[in-house]
Amino acid sequence: MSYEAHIDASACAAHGDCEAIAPEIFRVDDVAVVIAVGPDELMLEAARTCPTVAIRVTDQATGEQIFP
Amino acid sequence: MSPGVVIAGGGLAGQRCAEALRRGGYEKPVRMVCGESHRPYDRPPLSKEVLLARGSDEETLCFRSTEWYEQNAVELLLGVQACGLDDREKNLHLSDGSNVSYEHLLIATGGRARGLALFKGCANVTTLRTIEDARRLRAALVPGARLLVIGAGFIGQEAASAACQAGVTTTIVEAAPAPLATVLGAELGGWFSELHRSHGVELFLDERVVGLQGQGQVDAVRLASGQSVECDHVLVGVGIEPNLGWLDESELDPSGVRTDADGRTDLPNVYAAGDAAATFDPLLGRHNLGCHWEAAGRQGARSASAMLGLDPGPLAISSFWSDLYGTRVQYLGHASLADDVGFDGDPNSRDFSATFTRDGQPVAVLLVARPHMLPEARALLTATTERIFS
Repeated sequence: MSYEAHIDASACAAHGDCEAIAPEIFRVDDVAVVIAVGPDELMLEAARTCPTVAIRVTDQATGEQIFP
Repeated sequence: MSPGVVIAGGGLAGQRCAEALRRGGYEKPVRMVCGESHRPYDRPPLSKEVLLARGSDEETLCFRSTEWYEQNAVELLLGVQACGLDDREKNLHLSDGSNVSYEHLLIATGGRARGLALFKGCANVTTLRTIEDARRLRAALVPGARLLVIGAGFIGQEAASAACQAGVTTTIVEAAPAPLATVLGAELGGWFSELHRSHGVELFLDERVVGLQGQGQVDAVRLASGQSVECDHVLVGVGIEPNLGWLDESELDPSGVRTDADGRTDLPNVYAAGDAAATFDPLLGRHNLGCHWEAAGRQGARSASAMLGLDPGPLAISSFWSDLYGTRVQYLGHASLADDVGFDGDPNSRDFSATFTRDGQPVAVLLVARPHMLPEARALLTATTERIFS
C-alpha cells in the first residue's frame, strides 16, 4: 500500500479499463477518479492498460514516479 | 416542465453527453433515442476480444447498468429511431410514429458500416458495427476456416488479428498501397503490412475485388489483377457512412452535420457529436467528418457543456489506439499536415516512435509498444497547438 494513483483528467477519455481492472481503486463516469488506495500491482496494471496513459503512479513515501 | 434534452442516438457520444449533463447538475429530463434494442454499449471490443469470445456478453459491453439510467433519470427509448426533425417546433419524429419535443437536441445517430453492392444477397458476408455483426463474424471464426477481409482500416486489421489468434487463415485485400497509407503515409503503412505478414496473413495491396464465384454466397473473389482468393467468410471493412437520412428534409447537411468545436450546429439548440458530426477542427482549419472513439466521447461531453453554458475546457489532441497481435499502437495528431517524419528506434522493429513534423513543428506522433511515451507526446503536440493559436 505504498503507491498512489493520479489521474490526468484532460488526458482521460473514460475508456473504463482502470475500473474494469481495479474497481476498488478507480471509478469512471465521464472521467476517471481515484476512490481509494489498493494493491500496488493492481494500480500499476491499470495504469499500464490505460489507452490514453492518463494514470500516473507514484511512491507515496518518496514521491518517486513509478509509471509512466 | 421543460422537455429537456433529447439525444438522437444510443452510442458513445450520446452516452457521454447524458453523463456530462448529469455531472454538470442538469435536472431536467434527458431522453436517449437508441436505434438498437440494446442499452448504449461500447463498440471497440467488437473487433477485438468479442471475436475471441472474451468479455463478449452484452452486460460487459454496456456502458452502464439499468440501475444507472434509473438513478440518473436518463430515459432510454430502445429500438426506436429518429426519422425527422422539425426544428421550428423543436420536435423530433420517431420511427414508432410518436414525437418528442426538446429544449436541446443532440444529433448523435452515428454511422453504419458501408457494404459492397457486389456482395448483395450473399449469406457469408458481414460488416462489423453492432453486437449482432460481431456474433455472426465470431461464429465464422472456426479453426481452419478461411476469412477474407476487404479493407485494411482498423476494423479490418483488428479482425484479422483476432481471426489469426482463432486459427483462421486470413487474407486482406486493400485498395491502397499499404494499410492506413492515407493516414500515415506508405512507409509507415508498410510497417502494418509486415506485421500482418509476419503472423501469416496474406495481403493483396493496390487491389480490389471485381467479381465473385458462388451461388447465394461467396466461394471465391476475383481481383483486378486477375488473381483469385477462395474463402469461407467475407468481412467488409470499408468504412462507415453517417446515419443521417432522417435529416434529408431539414436544413442540416445529411452527409455530416457541421458543428463548431463545441458541437453547435447552424440551428439554434441543435448540437451534433460523434460519427454523424463534421466537427470543426481548429488544428486542421476545417470541418472533419468521421472521428474516432475518443473524439466522439469528448464531443458528446463538450456538447453537454455548451447546453449547460459551462466552459468545456481546452480541446484535446485527436488520438486513437489499437491492439494488433498483442502490440499496442497509439497515434496522436494529424499526420496529414506533415512534411517530414523522424524516427526514434528502428521503424522495422516492434518498438519505435515516429514524429511527424511540418516546418519543423511536431503535428503527429505514432507510438508502437511505447505507451509510456504518450504523456510526453501529448505535451509536445499541445505545445505546437498552443503556438499555432497564440
